[in-house]
Amino acid sequence: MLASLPYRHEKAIQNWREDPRAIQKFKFIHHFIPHAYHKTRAQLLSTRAFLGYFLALFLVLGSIKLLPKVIPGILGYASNIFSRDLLTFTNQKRQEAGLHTLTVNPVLAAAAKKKAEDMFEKGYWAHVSPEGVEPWDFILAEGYDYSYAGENLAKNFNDSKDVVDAWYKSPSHKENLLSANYDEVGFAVVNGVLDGYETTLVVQMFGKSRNPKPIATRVEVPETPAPVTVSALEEQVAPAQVVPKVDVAMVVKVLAFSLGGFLTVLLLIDLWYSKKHGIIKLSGHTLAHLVFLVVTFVSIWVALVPGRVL
Amino acid sequence: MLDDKHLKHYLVLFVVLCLCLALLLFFRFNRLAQIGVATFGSSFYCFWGIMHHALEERLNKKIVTEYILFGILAFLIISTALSV
Repeated sequence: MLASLPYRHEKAIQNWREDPRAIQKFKFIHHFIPHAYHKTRAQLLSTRAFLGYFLALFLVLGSIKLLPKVIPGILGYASNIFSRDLLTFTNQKRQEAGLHTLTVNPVLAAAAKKKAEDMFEKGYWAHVSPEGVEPWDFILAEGYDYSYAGENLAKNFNDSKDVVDAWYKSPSHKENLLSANYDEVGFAVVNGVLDGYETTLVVQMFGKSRNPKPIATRVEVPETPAPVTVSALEEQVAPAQVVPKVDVAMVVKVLAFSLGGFLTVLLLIDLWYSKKHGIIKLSGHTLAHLVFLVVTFVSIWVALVPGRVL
Repeated sequence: MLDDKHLKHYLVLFVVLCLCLALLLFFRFNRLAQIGVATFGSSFYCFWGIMHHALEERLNKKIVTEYILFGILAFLIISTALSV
């Protein structure tokens, strides 16, 4: 049995050399497994393959940037943001800092809504509109005479907690969140298409009124205005739930995980096959590459959020 | 299995990569800082790979290219995710 092996092996090689399909199969399988003779990694882990992956990533990025300009609204950011939660988290941060809580003022909420609608209508994302209209103009236009006022903006966020956390992490927005100068706040959570992407804009307007009475008259609140409750706030400003046709953040995560997962599988095959067949390659450490890829995946999953604040 | 020298090198790699992950989490809402951390992490990985193989006296052009390619790939994946 043992003596006949070399002959059988030679015969098999001879047959294999004469069979073009076997050669094709041999070539194809080495896209996925290391080459014992050349002592190289699988072809899909070669320099040429990596250049292909880079090109694919650039194409994906290009499509994400160009597609919304060609077909506006097809790509977007899923969101589930509620004014009620924004108020809760804002006041929570203020209480943690030993400050008084803010009450909702419907006039400020109306000004915030006008600002969000203006941004969608004119296609800008800034505190000052292209015509030079400032946040204070929206507040004054609603009849809110303030001694102090401020504005925080957010877009592309998935949930309310992330919005407030993002403001809290940014020094200038945190200053607004934790300012003792403000007594009142108004939120607007408005859905629309901005720069071709379907998204949700969040506008938070802070204020301290010089004279609260005229505001109550303007919004036709009864003579003895009661403080606005959380449920009242929900009635005034509808919660925003956006389910776009294609969620950009999810698409990017799925693509990143598909590519990363594919490379991880190839590296695991490389590790197993090389050990099994005793292939010693002059290459980098597969284990190190695996650790690096896993850290990259975890980073994408836990640390990257699509939202932006201004 | 990993010998002592290898283990020390891997420990350094693991600690720095975990630090990068922690920094990415810390700067969760600061894209510029996250790009900076991703650049540092990818560059460090290339440096680590090259130094590790140089210390083992088995560094060649192919190995340098391999670490650089992995570093660039990870950076591009993170940058793509950050750009949306």
